[in-house]
Amino acid sequence: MKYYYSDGEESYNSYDDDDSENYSSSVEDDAMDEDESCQSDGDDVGGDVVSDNDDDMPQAAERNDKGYIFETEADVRKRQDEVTASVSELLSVPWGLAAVFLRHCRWDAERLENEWFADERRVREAVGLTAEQGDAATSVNDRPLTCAICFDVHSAGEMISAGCAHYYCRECWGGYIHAAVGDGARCLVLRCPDPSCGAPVTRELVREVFAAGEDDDDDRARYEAFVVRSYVEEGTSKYVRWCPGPGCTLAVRAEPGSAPYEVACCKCRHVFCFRCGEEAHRPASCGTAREWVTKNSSDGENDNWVVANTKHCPSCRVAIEKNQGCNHMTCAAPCLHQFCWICLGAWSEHGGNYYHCNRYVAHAPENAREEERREHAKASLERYIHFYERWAAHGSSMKKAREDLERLEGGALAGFAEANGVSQAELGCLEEALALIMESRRVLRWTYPFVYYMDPVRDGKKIELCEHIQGEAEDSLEKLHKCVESEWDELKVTAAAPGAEFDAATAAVFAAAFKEYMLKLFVLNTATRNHLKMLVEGFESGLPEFEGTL
Amino acid sequence: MANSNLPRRIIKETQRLLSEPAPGISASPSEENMRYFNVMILGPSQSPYEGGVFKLELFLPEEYPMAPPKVRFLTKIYHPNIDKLGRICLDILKDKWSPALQIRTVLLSIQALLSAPNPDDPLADNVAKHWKANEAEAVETAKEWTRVYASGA
Ligand SMILES: [Zn+2]
Ligand SMILES: [Zn+2]
Ligand SMILES: [Zn+2]
Ligand SMILES: [Zn+2]
Ligand SMILES: [Zn+2]
Ligand SMILES: [Zn+2]
Repeated sequence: MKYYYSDGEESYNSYDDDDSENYSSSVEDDAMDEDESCQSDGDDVGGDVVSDNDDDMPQAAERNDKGYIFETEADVRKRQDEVTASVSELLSVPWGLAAVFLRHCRWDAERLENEWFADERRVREAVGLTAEQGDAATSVNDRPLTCAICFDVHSAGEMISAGCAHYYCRECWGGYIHAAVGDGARCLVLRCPDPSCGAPVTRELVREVFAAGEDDDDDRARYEAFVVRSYVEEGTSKYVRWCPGPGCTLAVRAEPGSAPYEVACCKCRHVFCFRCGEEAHRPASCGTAREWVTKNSSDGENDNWVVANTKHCPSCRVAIEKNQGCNHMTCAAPCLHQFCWICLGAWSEHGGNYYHCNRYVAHAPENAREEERREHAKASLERYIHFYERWAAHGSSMKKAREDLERLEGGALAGFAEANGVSQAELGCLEEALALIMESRRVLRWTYPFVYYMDPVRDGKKIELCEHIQGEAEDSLEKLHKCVESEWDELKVTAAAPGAEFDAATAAVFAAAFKEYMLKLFVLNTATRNHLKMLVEGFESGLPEFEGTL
Repeated sequence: MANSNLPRRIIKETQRLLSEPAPGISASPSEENMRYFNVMILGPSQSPYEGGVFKLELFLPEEYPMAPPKVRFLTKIYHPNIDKLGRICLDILKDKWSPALQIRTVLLSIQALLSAPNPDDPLADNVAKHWKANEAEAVETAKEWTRVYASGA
């Protein structure tokens, strides 16, 4: 299942835009092939992809074609424990303290070593340790004492401290840690309860406190979850992040120096920007994507949503619900009016070789001065809605394509192949088309914010070119999407129902229709892939020849 | 009975508050609910609140001592860290709370806050502004309020 823009070494130009974020890419090629190497959650894949020391990176071969690997939470935890153990040994401190020092240095072992050997005392003080305390992560009382929290007397060995002189009973420690865990990540910077003491509460102490009771399993597990989250989320290493896909628990680790532009999760299939965690937004920059998403939520998400999802047939005014991914709408009988979901224009005007529904035409007041025109065009809500609608529509079509693909892969395709005596390999084109549609929708979706933030007056020429490329790509994509949706449905009518007899005449009709369909699909796939390639190249190159000209 | 399950710590704290009260502070539990305390704090000398008797309520939530007590002024007071509902801006009542602190420490801290108002960490914005713009005048207002609202009526 490959659907990349090109098959060779092709990599996209690093993208250079308003916020001058550069992407080294080259990671596209095998992104989806991860399926083979990625194992299900919980499996320990650490062994084959992660070598022993922490700054290791994927093997050279892997590095060249992927630039990133997936890890389960267990893998991440294992690496975290390994680095903690090695630091503990190097600095000769208990591992609980090693973890505290490491967190202070954002889990960067090298930085910690440098700081430690330059000024050990400063590192200790920074995490609240005093010279007197020494290097204990925990200690127990050697004589009966009164717990300063519950006021009960406990005999020797029943109380514990964070290595300092303030002993509390296990029950009170349990309550103390429970309250902190309930507040969230605060539990990671918890100190000794004595207000005058800064001794850090370490993982070692937490383990000891919760060693006894089973009731505490929840707290302990939640605490440990914060520990591993800290490693990923607070870690220096900009090279690890969680897959932001809903409910997904995989982490993605990139090789240093490369922040992959796009990562496709091998488990949940979410495609996201490694840099900012947003849905993959090429060709828009991270800055543009962030600004756009913020704008959408601040301008009243609901209103936008309503605008983007409620439409009426332009001919008979009946309310239309869009339930297909394709934007070519046909109103219900008897109207049967064909129109474009996006602009509500007649579909007949969209055919041919120029799809021109993507272009925003500002209705600037007549004879306004240039400055006013510029302001008007930029600020107008109408302009925003134009871009928002198209951005949102591509998004929902993308989702639809994804559901279709999942259904096909979930058995629909195999069923069809079996009933009609065709091989599943022959139908690969269909899966390829849906994957290509998803990707094209996503890229096209983000070309809208890209153009939205261009200056309609200054960049007029450039916008025109962008919109031209965009229109071509959309034209080709809509044809492909229609072919995969309604034309596929038509083909299915000529096909055999599962289990039904397939007489010779029907078989011949089907075979001819099938052949024709597959050829058409192949042609549309190729055209769409080429348009997508042009689109990305055009936008990412920044269209320099049109810079500032009018 | 609301009081039957009272942790030993609360009983001990209460006994000590009653038997060895801190100077200028009295705190006594309500008979119906031993987690609810009626508190009186005398305005510290050398402060704009000198001569005033300030009533507060203090409540120990279920989670106490893992969660801080809830305290509120009942007497009106002109102070940059206390708002018109009597709520108090004090770190140990929020994120700096520790179960190793006690009712006594909390009340002593509130008493200290009366001696040293901190307009840089305000709760009552307009009072804090007044305090920073014209401290002498703000202090006069605080004294006036003390006379009007806190003179032991
Ligand atoms: Zn205790
Ligand atoms: Zn301590
Ligand atoms: Zn995922
Ligand atoms: Zn990004
Ligand atoms: Zn109609
Ligand atoms: Zn249109």
